Amino acid sequence: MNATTKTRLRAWILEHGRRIDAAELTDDTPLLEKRILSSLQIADLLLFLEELRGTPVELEGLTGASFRDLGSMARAFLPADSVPASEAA
Amino acid sequence: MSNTTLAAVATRLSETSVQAALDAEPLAWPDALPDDAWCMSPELVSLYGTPRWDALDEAGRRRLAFFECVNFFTLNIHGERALMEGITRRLYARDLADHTHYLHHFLAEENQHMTWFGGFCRRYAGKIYPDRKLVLPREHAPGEEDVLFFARVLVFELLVDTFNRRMAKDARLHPLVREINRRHHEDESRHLAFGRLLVEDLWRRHAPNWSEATRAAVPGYMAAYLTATWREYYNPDVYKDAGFAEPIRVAREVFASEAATARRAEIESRCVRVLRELGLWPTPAAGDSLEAAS
Repeated sequence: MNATTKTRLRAWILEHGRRIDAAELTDDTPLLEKRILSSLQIADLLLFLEELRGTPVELEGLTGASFRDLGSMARAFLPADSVPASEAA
Repeated sequence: MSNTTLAAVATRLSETSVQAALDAEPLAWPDALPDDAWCMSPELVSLYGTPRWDALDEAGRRRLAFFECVNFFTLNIHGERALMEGITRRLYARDLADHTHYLHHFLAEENQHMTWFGGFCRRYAGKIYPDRKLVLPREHAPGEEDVLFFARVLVFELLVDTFNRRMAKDARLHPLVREINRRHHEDESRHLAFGRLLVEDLWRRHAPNWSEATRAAVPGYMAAYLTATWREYYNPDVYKDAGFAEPIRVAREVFASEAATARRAEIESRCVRVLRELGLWPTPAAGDSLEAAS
């Protein structure tokens, strides 16, 4: 995984999410709280994440916290080299 | 439709459920399914009518049909589990108290269905497919959560029932598969009759008290829910088991294909008609959006 993986995830959110301009979407924009993403999009998003990372996501025990914002998703689902060291804690 | 009518229907359906339970024979489970058994009607297989289907030989088509059947039964397990959780939470709730006697039958039947679907998947595939749905909590207007819950149940069951009715009659299918589909359709026809009246009742009682924005969002939400439900019928895990490389790409391509789009439109027509009659389907005149509302 490389930096483009997170960029592709960001692009997916901009394309499929609602009510947001590219300039407004930061790593900590609350995607669920602002209803940019909905429950109905999670299955599709999970497939996209699996495609990005090339391996299945462990689905049992998954909660909304992993989808809270772009940064949370990158840390939860994308390999570490896609996330700057300062964010990876 | 009055609440009294709904109560009378619930009472009648309860009596039918009692008799159906008394009449039911245990399913006959063979140790194994023959290799040449069809487990899904070819015309209902997600790839049917696409170049990928044409490229498969007969054995490959039957193998794909088997895993599509496992996926169909899996979707029923996940759907009925969510349904049972939702109904259990609502047992004896004030809004539904008059119908609790039928909800107990409803729950018992859904539990029975899960034993059929789970029994098939575990015996012959050794697994069920994982559930990629995740319900994220959000605020609702009074009664809105109940309306959306029972409307989702109605959509899910209407789609499933179309598959059940067709496969129950398909003489090409293995007898066990036909019988599971037949029995499920028989019970679901009662659930659908009740569910439709209940959604109508809840919508008429609660929606007038909501904001215009909340009310207007419901049809768009139902359309988005129907699309999200359909996506689960194009499961990459199925394509992987059937031997396809790049299964996620297959799922995406097939979902967007002309053949699959036309088939979905035909299968969902009953569901869309019911939602339209209930006032829960977007109308261009009303400017409803097909975007997800939740």
